[in-house]
Parts: sequence; C-alpha cells; structure tokens
Amino acid sequence: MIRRHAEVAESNVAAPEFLIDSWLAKQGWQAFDFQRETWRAYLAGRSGLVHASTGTGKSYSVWLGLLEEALRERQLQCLPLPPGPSPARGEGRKKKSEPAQADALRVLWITPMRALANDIAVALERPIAELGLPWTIGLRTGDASAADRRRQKARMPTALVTTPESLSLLLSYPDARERFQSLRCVVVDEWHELLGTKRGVQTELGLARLRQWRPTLRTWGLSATLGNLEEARDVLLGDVADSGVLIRGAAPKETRVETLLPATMERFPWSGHLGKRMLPQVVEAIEKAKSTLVFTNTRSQAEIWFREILHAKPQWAAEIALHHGSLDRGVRAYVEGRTRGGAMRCVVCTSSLDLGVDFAPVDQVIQIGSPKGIARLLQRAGRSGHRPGAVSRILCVPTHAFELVEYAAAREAAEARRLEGRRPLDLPLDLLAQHVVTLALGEGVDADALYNEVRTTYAFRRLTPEQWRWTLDFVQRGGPALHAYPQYSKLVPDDGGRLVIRSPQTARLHRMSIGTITSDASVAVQYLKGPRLGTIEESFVARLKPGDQFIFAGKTLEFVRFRDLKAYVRKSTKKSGTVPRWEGGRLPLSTELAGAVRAKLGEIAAGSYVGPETEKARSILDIQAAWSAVPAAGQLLIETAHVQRGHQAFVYPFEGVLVNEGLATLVAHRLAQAGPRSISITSNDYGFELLSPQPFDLSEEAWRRLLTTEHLLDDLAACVNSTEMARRRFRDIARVAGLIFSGYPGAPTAARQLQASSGLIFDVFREYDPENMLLEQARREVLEQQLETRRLTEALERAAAGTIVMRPIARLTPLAFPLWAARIQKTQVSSEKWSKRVERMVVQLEREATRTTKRKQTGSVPVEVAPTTNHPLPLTPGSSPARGEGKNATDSQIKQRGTHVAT
Amino acid sequence: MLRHEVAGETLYLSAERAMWWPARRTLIAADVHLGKAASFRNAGVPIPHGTTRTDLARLTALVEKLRPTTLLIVGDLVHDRRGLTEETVAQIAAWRMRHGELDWLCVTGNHDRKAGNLPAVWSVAPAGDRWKVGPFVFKHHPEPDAGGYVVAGHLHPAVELRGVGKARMKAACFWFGREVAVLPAFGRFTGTSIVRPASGDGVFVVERDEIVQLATTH
Repeated sequence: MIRRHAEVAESNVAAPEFLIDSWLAKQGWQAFDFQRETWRAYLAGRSGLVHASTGTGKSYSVWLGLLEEALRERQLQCLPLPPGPSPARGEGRKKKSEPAQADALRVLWITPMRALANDIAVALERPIAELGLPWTIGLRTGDASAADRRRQKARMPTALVTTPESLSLLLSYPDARERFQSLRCVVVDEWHELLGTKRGVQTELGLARLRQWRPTLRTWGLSATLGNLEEARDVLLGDVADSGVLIRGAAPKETRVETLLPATMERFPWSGHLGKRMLPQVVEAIEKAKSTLVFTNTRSQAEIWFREILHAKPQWAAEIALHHGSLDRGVRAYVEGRTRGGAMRCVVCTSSLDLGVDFAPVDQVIQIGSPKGIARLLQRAGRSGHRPGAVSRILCVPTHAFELVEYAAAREAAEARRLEGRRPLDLPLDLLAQHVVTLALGEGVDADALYNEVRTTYAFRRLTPEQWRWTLDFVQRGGPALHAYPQYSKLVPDDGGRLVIRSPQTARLHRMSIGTITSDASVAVQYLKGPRLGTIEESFVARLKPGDQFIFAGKTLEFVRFRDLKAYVRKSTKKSGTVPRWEGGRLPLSTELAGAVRAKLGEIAAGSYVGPETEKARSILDIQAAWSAVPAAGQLLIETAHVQRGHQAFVYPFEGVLVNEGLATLVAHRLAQAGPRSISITSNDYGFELLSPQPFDLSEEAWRRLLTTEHLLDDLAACVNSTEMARRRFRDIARVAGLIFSGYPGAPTAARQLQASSGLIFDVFREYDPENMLLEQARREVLEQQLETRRLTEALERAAAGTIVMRPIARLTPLAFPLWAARIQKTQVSSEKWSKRVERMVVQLEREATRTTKRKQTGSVPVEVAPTTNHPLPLTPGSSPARGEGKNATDSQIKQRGTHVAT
Repeated sequence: MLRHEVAGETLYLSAERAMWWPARRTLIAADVHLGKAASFRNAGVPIPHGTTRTDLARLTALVEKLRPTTLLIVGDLVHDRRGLTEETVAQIAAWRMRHGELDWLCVTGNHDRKAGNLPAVWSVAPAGDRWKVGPFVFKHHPEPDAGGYVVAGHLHPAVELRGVGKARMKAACFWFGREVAVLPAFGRFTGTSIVRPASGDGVFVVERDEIVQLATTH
C-alpha cells in the first residue's frame, strides 16, 4: 500500500493524492489507510465491502470517496466551486432559490433503521457544506412527509438516504427508471444487520434492478466484523462480486469483558428469569458511572429491570429511561436525544440500541443475562468508551449460575476473535412474489428478462425455471389451483406484452404491504385520552379482558377496550401486572459461543477452574457433579426422572435453544413412532426436556438409535409436518406474499372483510393446494433457519462419536431446574388419538366463577377434562396444571403468558 | 354425536359443527360464510377453490344422515357481497335444487346484512334477527333474551386446553352457558376466537370427526 501511494505521488508530481486531503487537513484530520484504499477502489469503478467496528470512520471511507470523485470532475470541467455555505439538505426553502444548481441523484444511502436516517443525513451533509459542493441530501423513509415526497417527485436530491422498504416503494412507481438515471453508487450501511434477513433479500433484489438500469453502478457495503465477510460481500454484490474488494477498517478498540459476581452463591437462584438478587449490585454500578446502558435480551426483561431499578431508586425517575423496539418512535427518539445530550443516568434497552449513532456520554455498558453471541457482546461493549484511546468495557450480570460459565467462555472466544457469521437466505419465494408485483406496478414486467435479472442476486442464483414459472403464475393468476378462472388475474399483459397491474385496489394494498416485512401482527397501545405508547402483540391483547392490568412502557396500565387495531388503556394505580411477552425473544446461543461453553464445561469436568467466573460458579457446578454429572468433552448428558404427572428426560446438547428444540422434536417424533404416546417439549440454550405420561425407560443403545443421523431428513420433514412449526413460520410468508393484510396500527382497515389468519390460510392451502410452493418454503425455512439442519446434524454426529452419560435423578439438578421452570413450551408431538389427548387436558375458565376460592393466582382456573363419557369427573379446586405443587417462589411469579411482577 | 339436554329439550351435537334437534327435525348451524374464499380471490388474494364445495358436501352428509325437515342457520350464511360470484351462487343453487324439500331458514347475521338480499334461487326464508321456536330463541349475537334460551353464533368459539407440563391446544367448541348457547362456526374457511366459559357451562370441543365434552365443575 505504501508503495502504491508512492507511485501515485510520483505521477502527480508532489501534489496530494486526493483533493479531499486539503479539507481533511483543515479539520486537523488525517485519513486512515483503509479510507484511502476505499477511495482508490471507488474511483477505479469498483464495488466492495468495508468492515470495521463502530465509530471508526466507515461511513466517511465511502462518502469522501464519492465527494472526491465530484471534486475531480468539477476540476476537469473547470467548474468553479461556489464559495461559502452551499444549499442545505434538499428540504429547505433555499432549494427553490437555486434549483438548477444541485447535482442530480447520484447516491442512494440505504440504512436498516429509519430512525437513523436523520442522523446519517446530518453527518453526510457536513463535508458538503464546507466543500461548497452543489449537492443536496434528502430523506426517503416511511416517515417522509407528503411535502418531501412531492419535492422529490419534482427533483430527487443528489444523495438520498432511505431504507430497503422505501427503495422497493420507489421501484413500484412507473417513473422509477427515470429517477435513477444518473445514479452512480448505492451504499448499504450496517449490511450485517440486513444480511440473513428478508429485508436483506429485498435489498438484493432492488440492487439487481438498479444495476440493470445502471450497468456501471457501484455498490458499497459497510459492515461490522463478521465470521463470513467474503460471503457477506458476495451477497451484496450479486453477479458483480468477482470485481469486488473487501477492505478491513481500523483495528478494533480494546474490549474488556467483566462480570459482576454475585456476593453469595448459596442464595443465588439457579434460574431467575429476573435475576433480581443482583439488583443491589447493578444499582451500585450505575451509581458509580456517569451514564449507563443496561442491555437485556428481551423486551419483557427490559420492562422488568426498568421497574426494578426505578423501584430501588425512585429519586432517579427523571434520569432513567426505557428503550425497546415496541415503544412508540417518538418516545424512543426522545430517550436517544437525552442520552446523547448526557442527561440520562441509565437507559434500560434491548437490541434497539445495538445500532445507531454514538452516545458519547455513555461510559458504562451492562449486559443482563446471556450474551448469546460473541459478536453481539463486542458490539454492545462498543457502545461505551467513545473517547479516543478509551477502552470498551462491558459488565455482565448473570441471571443464573451457568451464565457465569458463558461469560468466561465468551471472553476467551472474543479474545481469539471467533466471531459468528450470518447465513444469507436462499430462495425466499414469498419475497420474489412481492418483488414481481412491485415491478409490475412500476414499469411492468418482462418475464424472461426479469428471470435473468433476479438470478444475478445471491438469494436467487439457483432459481429454477420451474420455480420462476410457479412464482409468476402465483402472482399473476393465483397459481395452478386458480387456472381456470381468468377473472382473478392480478397481473395482465399490456400492449407491449409486459405484465402490469390495472386494479388501483391491488396497487394500494400492495404498496401498503411492502413496508410490513418485519412487523409482527401488532396492535397499538394508546391512552383513552392521550398519546400512543407503542405496540404489543395481538396474541397478548387477545387474552386481555377489560380491567386487566399489564406492564408496558415502564407503567402499569389497565386495559379498557380493543378497537380498530388499538388497545385502549388507562393508567393504573396498582403496582402489579403481567408483562407482555414478545415473540422475537428467543435468540439462540450462537454456534461459536455454544462451542466455547461446551469446551469450558469440559475443562471444568476435568477439574480446571480458570478465571473468577468459574471459580464463583464452583459450588453450583459441584452440586451438578454430585447429583448428576458435568458433561466432559465428548459427553452427552441425559438425566431421567419420574414425577407425579409424568416421566421426564433432560438431555443437554448445549446447542442453542432452536437446535435443541429441533433435536427434541426429532427424538419425540421417533419415540412416538414406536406406539401411541404424547410428549411435550421444553428447550433452552443448554438442552431440552421431554415430558410424557408414559415412561421412557430407554437404554443407552435406545438413546443412540433415537439420536442417529439415519433417515434424518425424512424424520425432520415428518416433524415439521406433524407439528405447528411450519404453520407458525407461514405467518411471515403469507404477509410478504400478499396473502394477509394485517394493516398497521392506525391505518384504515379498508380490508376488514379480507382478514384471515395465516394459520387458516395455511390449512386451506394444505388441503386444497398442497403443491403450493409457499408451503414448501415454510417447511424449508423451518429446516434451514429454525432447526438449522446443518448445525443439528453436527450435533448428532458429535453425539454419535462421543459417549452418553445417563443419570437418574432424584431432584432437579442445576441444569434441569431452568428447563422445569421455563414454561414456554409450545411443541407437542403425539401419535395418540385427538380425543385421548383431550382427556388429559384442562380448559381455562372465566375467573369470576372462582373468585371465592382462595387461589392467589389471578389468572383462570383449570378444570380437568372428563373421559369421553357424558359424566364429567370433577377435580378438587386449587390443584395446579403445572407439575408439583409449586412451592418454589419463582413458580408463583412466572405465569403462562408472560412474567408476573409484583413490586 | 353427543347428546345434550338443555331447556327441557334433547339436542345432539355433531363433530361436523352442527346441532340436531330431533323433536323438531331441525338441523342447526352457525357462521357458514359461504363464498368467503371467492371474496378473497376477487380482491386478488389467491385462496384455492374447494372450501365452499366441502362445506356443501358436509351439509349434504348431515342432511342425508338425519333427514331434517328444517335447516336453520343462526346467522352469517354468506361472507360478503363480493363473494357471491356467479359461480358461488350457481353452486349453492344446485345444492338447493337437490334438497328442495328442506325448509331453509336463516337468521340475519352481521355479514348477511352487509351482503344484502340472498339470491332468490336459493329460496332461503329470512328469519329476521330473532326466531323463536319452543323454548329457544335463535339469533346471531349471543345475548340473553327474555323470550327464552338463546342459541347463537357469531363468536366462532374455541377454548384453550392445557395438558401435562405446558402442553397447549386450541379447539373449536359448542358452548352452553346458563342463558345462551354459542355454536362453533360451520364453515371450513373461518377462524376461531378464544372464549372463557364459566364454571358449570357445557363445553364440547370438536376436531375433524371427534367430539369430547369437557368438565367445567369443581
């Protein structure tokens, strides 16, 4: 690199290599080598990916390259730069006074978070104003005002900051090609966030279209460091990947992973969803720092911790805030602004603050519970220590003893830079269907040309002509099932043979659904008289009755009524309520971290306790060893027990919650094949529990047969079909493919008569159109993304190569306890007759009916089901649907649909 | 079919989500939502064909087995106006022709009202908002009525069942309360909503060809 610099310098006869250098010098800055490398590659017409940790100048590495190009062109054309401040962002009135001067649209800057768009625009604008370039910067996100849109219709800004959804929307207008006719570069910010998601694929498809129109288009991605960077680049660049470069940014800051060790281990709960015992120490740590971000893994946990901290320190009420993805955007923006201004002592947040502009005042980051992944831990640590030379620190707070082992393992893996990769998606046909409709709304679809175009993307590089025909047919006529009914055609050929859309209703519904790729079926929470607080999931609202209390946005609320996709609430004077549980909350332990945890446990089993965490966890690990075993390297531990209501088997593959659930389903399915039997499954990051009314009584040999890789794919396919997994997965697919219109909170529900649940549509498809490829996609998504077949196979292979350690247990071991207490069980595998299963179940009754009984539980009361006769067998009141009699404190606190908190 | 006594009358509940009242030779069903899939297709949502055909076939099977003189629908026979395509109307008219001897009555549901008059070729007798026979008042909305024990629909009721450990299951149901009974939705292409019966209510869950009574006393 140095040599190359010298060559260039020679040919330029001592002039600086870049025109931008003089501006940098004026700021007292000096470009990093990686930034210059990026500029050179950009100026040479190449595309690529720049990766570095946050806050190291990734954005300017590309942005200044673009400005350099503009400066050079002006120099060549001998155009003067207008002196003094240039036009500001393309919104202002100023623009009208100098309309002809601003350069045409050159750059699209795509960000995954629309909340960041404004900050990005401000950052991009700074050098422009000072260089005096006649550029304008505009925003186009879901938040853009009608006036912005009108202005952009008249003339696009030179650089447009937008989101993947808004890019899709722009492509859905007939004049899109014209608007992008002078586009030179697309920058995709935080590409690692989009990679592996449907929004990432949406970006890929949009880029393919833009490259079609602008063959010399350059694409640059900015990414955090990942385990699979080359793949990340190739996905972004599609068919131009060959000429793409990969540029490594500035070296990462030093990161220190520390653990807040519990004072006493004896009293430390094995599984606290809350880990409340650590509260005094957490409060103390917050007290010592100036400004702290407290990260939790789920929104529910954030709600709980916010309340706990506030309860401990009521005097902090003005300086502590809550931030998560379900809160209203206005609330979030307010909290972000105050944090940046240094006014916040503490913000309790979720991954909602993983990204975004720097919060310079933050000097401490706390992670509650499992870090889940190494890259994620480092990313969060990077939110602190933004001053030059500062070290990033993250303080980990265990919520149960085994997390101490996770922290020790994560620290070692982080030091060795064993970072996770993000797997790109393959062939999501739902999104392809959406894209075809989008383009048909735009300039129309030439089927053959579009086939070739989408095949240039990484996601659809293997799209077969058959799949393409099916997709086209599906959007055009509803697929083979509707062939005989031309009146239902959505897409019709125009005079030139292009497929277009004529119905304004279809157009409107489609444009509405473009933006809803990631949104859950959610409803707004709003005060009867007052502002919106945010959103909660529809399934949670469905269980609320007027008068019910729940905790949201850090407040106790009373549910009043549900109308027009809004849950109306009023403030409650009560202190307790149920905390909603959001579906997205099950991030698994990553492959890399899971491997590190297994290795760490292996060390411990061999008697080596290195580091303060494992030393601290020793007493619990000793109990585990005494009552059962700590699995050594190459060992799979299985514990079996018999309790009042059934037979339990606890198996510990340590593979993350999703793969563990997959393994559990597989084993349960194979067990059920042997004879009529019902099994319910619970899983967590460490292992799974099988619970069945019938005994297991399995030898080691029998377990090996259950865990074999033989017939694996067939058995997995059968599992997916027989359980709810594919049906649940279908929800997103149905929405993306335009089968359901969930609308969005506040939107007019014009399509009320078109409301059907995705589950219902799934059932109807399965019965009347079983060849529908979207069903197949749902199954594929379960296998690839949920069960992670590849990782699951590796786990089985490891089990086959290792030994199985079987331990009958008399009491719940430290490893078994969290599984027993989790109660988030969803999967059931059964080979029994439906009515047989119903006989053993209980129904939820109206609570009023049982108010007189002395049950403490505020929910409903279970009553046993009678056998198929007409003579119901009564059950004594007060018996619990759960196992055991629930003497444990956590037992009464954790409720079926969320965590109950009383303060 | 399960036998169930209410208001001094004997009723039989079918796993096909319909109710048989032998004393009056009346077959009763709620929320058929005929033409719902067609309505979706009309709006560009590709729902496959076959749901209406299946629903009619299920009605045929019940009619042939029980030989009722009256078929009474307690509201929402049709889904909406858009779903009443030529094809749907003809399909149902053909069914009607084969069962010409039946008295076909329909209490008006909220969907029926919006859809306007039912096609004359079906010869369905409108029964208004409220249809009183014997001790029963048949209406769409499950609200108590001074005139008698109410048999209604509208809710598409289902209950949530819990089993060993944390097993959960949803099942459509017949729900007999103290003053009001709610029938499950008959149509195949209809969803359900969870209801919470009170202690002492009669709850019968159905799935495919099975029906089971749940105990609700303690």
